[in-house]
Amino acid sequence: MSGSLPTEDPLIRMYRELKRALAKDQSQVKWAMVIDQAKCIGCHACAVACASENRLGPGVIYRPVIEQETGTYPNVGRRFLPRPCMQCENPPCVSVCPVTATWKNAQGVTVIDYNRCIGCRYCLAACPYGARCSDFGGFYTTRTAEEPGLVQGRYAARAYEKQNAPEYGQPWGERGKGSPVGNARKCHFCLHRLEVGQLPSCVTSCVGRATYFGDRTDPAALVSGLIGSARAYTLKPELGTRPAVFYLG
Amino acid sequence: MNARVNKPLLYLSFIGLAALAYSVVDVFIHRTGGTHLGSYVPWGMGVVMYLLFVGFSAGGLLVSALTQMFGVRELKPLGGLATYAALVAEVCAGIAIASDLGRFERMFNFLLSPSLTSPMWWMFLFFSAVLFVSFMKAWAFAKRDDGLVAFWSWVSIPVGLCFYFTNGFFFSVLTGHGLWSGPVVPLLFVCAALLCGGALVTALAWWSMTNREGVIRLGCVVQLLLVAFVVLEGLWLWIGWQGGRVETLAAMRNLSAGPGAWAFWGLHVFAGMALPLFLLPQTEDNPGLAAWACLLILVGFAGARWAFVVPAQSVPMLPGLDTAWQHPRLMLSYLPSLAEWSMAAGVSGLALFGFLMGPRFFPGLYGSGPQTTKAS
Repeated sequence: MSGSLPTEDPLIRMYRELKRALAKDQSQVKWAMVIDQAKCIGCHACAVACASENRLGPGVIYRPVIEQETGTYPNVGRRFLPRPCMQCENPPCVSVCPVTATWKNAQGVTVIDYNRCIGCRYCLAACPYGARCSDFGGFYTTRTAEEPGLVQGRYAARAYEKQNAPEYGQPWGERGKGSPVGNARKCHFCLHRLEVGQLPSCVTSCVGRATYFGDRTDPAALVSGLIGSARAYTLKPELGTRPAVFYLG
Repeated sequence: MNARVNKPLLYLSFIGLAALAYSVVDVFIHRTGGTHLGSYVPWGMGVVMYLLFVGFSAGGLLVSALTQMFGVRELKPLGGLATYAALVAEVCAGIAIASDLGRFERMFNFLLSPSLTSPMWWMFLFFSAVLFVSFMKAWAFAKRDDGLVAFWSWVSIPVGLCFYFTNGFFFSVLTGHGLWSGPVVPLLFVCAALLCGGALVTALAWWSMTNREGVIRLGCVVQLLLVAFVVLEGLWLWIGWQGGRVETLAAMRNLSAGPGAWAFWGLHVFAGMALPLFLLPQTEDNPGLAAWACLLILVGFAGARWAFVVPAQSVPMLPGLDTAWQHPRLMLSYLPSLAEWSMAAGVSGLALFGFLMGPRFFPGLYGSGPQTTKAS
């Protein structure tokens, strides 16, 4: 096989590295994500997979894909910027929370205690990447067509809304009045999947294999090599937030 | 003192109270789901009304500072009224902001799991302190205990200054929003609060015919504060403009030429600053005119608070973020819902009711004995 072609799917390598990372002392692990903009085709599969995985309600999105136009006519280009939570090393959202409902865990992921959050949305205003959403409590079943036999009608949506949101390993139950409705919500690198040895859903669903994930303290990890690339950059570095999400421009 | 109740205004306050009842029921049923807020414009009418009434509550601090620190004895008879007005405004501010929380029933977490790094926690602390001190001051006024009045007035000065400072500090730490962040904002908030708190007490004092000399004297102080506020706000905008950050300039464009520009130019600049600046120098012997000018400042302040809160958020944190995923909760435009308008009308109606009934329910706070001079 030609040396220029990958010998294995990066997913397989990342799963191998994930297994290695989970075997380590977890306080020594620092999760990082790298998104290759040259490979992203703007299919929004990651956004949809994330919404489905975390049972996000209407108007709540953890990983929108921003479409960017570059250059001036006639020399124009188009590229995509998937925007998960940056899992900043110095997160502005954490210090402003008045009730310590959000913090960085040992692996560098900013997490939220839904049962403590009062829904003041201060963290939304503080995040310079717009990465937090408030769950205003909408339902997909509102104004959804319903006819007997309709596969994608209200019955299907209701079944989706009855499923338990898996976030932070707690039984949040059927979507209704309880948390996470009324709370701030955000991407958490699919911690519930990592705990059982699975990569985040945005990584596994990426059609162009443009999203990479792993332990940045592991020098042999795919992400460690990519972070060192000359193409690697972070968003708004001037703010000093030091994101754990890197882009390859 | 005029304890007669203006009936049309009383009926207006009843309409406001009915709107408040509707909005409270809506909040209990839908929480923030009944609002038109979103994740990119997370703060709207609730925060505007909170900031507005917080500003109104600073009259107590202003009168205390002027009488205790600067020895302006003419304002002493206005102390009780100013304290009562502060209490009413604080209650209204509290209702407005509590109803804006997605999980208001967990407010006890401010005490159970406090975060000392959060400006909001300090704001909560000083809000509670100001409420307590205002209550104690009102009690001292009602008891006519001069010693206690002086004690609580002195206590209210640092507590109040800290509170109004933290309201500005709350915004100034948000570096992602160029228009909000910066060291001028806390000072602007303190000055704005003293200005509209003083304006409210001036208007109420004339309305209840409590003290003609006090109205004129306080009108002069309001005039000075208005000049200071104009200078500070000019400085704030100038720094933003000179700084040249893309987000700040975009927010300034929203402020001056966006959909809410009417609030900035019409209400804030024209009604709240230009007209009072024209009228106040002519009020040396006309307390009625001073009161009307102060009323204009209060109306203008509503526009000022809208212009401060909403346009700054109508700038995407990242270019293209607002069009990346389509949903009404993920938009940069914001127009309050019926429930939010009802809340705004409700707390305004509650304040109006409180101010109308104050002289009747709490005559002790409005000064003793009949008023000898009539308002012009």
